[in-house]
Amino acid sequence: MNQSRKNIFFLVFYLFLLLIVVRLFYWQIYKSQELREASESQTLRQLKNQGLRGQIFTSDGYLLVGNKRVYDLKLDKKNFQGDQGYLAYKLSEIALQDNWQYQEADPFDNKLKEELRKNIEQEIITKFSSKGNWPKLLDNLSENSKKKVEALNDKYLFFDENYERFYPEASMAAHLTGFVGRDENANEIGRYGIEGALEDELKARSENHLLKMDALGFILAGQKYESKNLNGRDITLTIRRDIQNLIEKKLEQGIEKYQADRGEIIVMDSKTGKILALAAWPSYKQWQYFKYDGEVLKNPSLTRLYEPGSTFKTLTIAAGIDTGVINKETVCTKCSGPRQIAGYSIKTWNDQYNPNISMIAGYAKSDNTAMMFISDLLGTDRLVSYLKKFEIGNRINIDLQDDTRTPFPEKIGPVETATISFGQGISTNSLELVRAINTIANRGKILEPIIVDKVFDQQKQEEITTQIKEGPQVISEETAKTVTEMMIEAALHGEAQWIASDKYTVAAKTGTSQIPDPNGGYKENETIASFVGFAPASNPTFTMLVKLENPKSSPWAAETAAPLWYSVADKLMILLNINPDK
Amino acid sequence: MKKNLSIYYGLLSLTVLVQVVLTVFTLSQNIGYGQKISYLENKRENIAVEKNQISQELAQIIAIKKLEQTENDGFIPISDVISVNRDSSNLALK
Repeated sequence: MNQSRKNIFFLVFYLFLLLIVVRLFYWQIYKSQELREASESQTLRQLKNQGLRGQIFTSDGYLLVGNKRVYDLKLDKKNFQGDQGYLAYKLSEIALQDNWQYQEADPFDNKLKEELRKNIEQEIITKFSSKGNWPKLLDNLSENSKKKVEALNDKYLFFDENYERFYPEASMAAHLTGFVGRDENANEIGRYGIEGALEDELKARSENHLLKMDALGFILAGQKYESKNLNGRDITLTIRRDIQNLIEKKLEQGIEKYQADRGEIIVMDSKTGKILALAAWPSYKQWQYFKYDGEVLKNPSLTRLYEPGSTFKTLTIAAGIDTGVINKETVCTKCSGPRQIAGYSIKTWNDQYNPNISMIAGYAKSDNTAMMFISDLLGTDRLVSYLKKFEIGNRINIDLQDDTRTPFPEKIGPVETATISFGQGISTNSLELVRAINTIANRGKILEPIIVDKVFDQQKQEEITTQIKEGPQVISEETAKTVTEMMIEAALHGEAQWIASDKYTVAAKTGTSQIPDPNGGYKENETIASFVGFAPASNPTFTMLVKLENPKSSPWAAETAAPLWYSVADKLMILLNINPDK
Repeated sequence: MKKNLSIYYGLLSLTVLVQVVLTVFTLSQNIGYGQKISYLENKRENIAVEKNQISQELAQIIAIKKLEQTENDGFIPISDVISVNRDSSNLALK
């Protein structure tokens, strides 16, 4: 009896144990996924870390492009019970201060102010009736405006933090920096200049962490959490703030004085190829890029091709001397009148001729027939080979968007050879020309222009400095020296002699080029005036190009681009601490 | 036998107690650790924002365009030049 009781007890006991095991199996194996998900949905939180876009500095350490915190204003529409009209009115008054049209308007124009405010008010009212419980009423509010909104003490208003590009130096170097626009998915993307070319370097990184947190939002222990610096790389440009500011002001004054349509000034360090400043006009405000025509946003020093005209004669002279077909005293035996080539009559710029003129005088007088004389002696192949060595047509290899090859004439017959020798029938951009002319300043060795001085990697805390990019020896040192002497002579006794400096030597050349007409031939009354050279000629420190398109005060470079060049050079001598060599 | 049982259960209770204390202690440490990380992370973020704001304000103050503006605003051309020489009767040095 006792034994059977015992058996029953154990049977019940084991059945009970089996029940527990089955139940455990049910929860832990069969229902495990469901339970885990339920638990994780209560504890797992996604933490998104977003870095800031890299900043851009000038070589002297000033911030050119930074990041500014801005705020989007959202409304808890579901719970909001106040007067929508009143709130819209108050918010429109605050948001008006951040409106670019208001900021640019006449401060006394109350009518416009009221009109803009009403527009904003209307936009806010429209957003009240939009779908969703959290309509965004205003975006990109400044810190000041945020404080004013907070002063309204409306508990149904909330802010979302955001960052946007900030330009403490206003539109300085706009063509170099580029701007941050939006792609087709409304994501931020750099466009033009450094922002466009170095998008991958500059862009902010983001990281998502899935972490277990408690009810208060604190991370539960036992999880590896490492917060990284996700900021984009900081870029330091080679430009100097004071020089950039100087040439921008001078260019604007020059454009006004000589009534030009457009203009450019490029200043390059003759010994390193570093761009010390680059200005182009018309310019634009990076934060209002959407207001401007696409053509204005592009850097004209790379994208605006032109026939360089007489400044190009420097390269023809260099090729002639380097091959030994001429020296500076060689007499031109074909300079007594217009040249007839393949049925075309090619004249000098002033239709005056100088029989038996020496090369040095022919270059100073910018004599086309003297250049054709050199190209005759050189032949097409040798001339083309030298132009290619000077990298005419090759991309600049600079960290700026739109840096591409420029078209080099494919078929070069006798007429093209003749016209190319004095800078017609071939197109280039300003940076290509500066690179080529700087070869003479750099004793015959080509230097690639550099715009990025260094890059700072925030993750590795490492600085990467750009190396000087010295290319091959294009012409011999001796040739470079002779061409420099001829350029000094051209500056002293050429068309721009009236403005020559008595404090320092300048090796430079004027260029007044014609503008091709889309209907064939050249435009009658429009020219591109340019002046390119380096100083001090005895020990070149900077190479500079000044280019003015369609100056109306005078079509000639000697009366427009050259005086502007000298007025900038006078200031550069001080800023770069150069001792006068005269 | 009874004594042995008492010792056995005593030790067992002690072990369970130690285990409970240890668990509570570790958990509290864990919570504190999580709080500390969150606090430091928050602080780091705030400092980064503050730093960015200060450098932004500094950049704006020392902007060359602004400095030039200030320079021009403060410039008052001399309208009435008074030359002072040793013979001037009102010269303080005299």
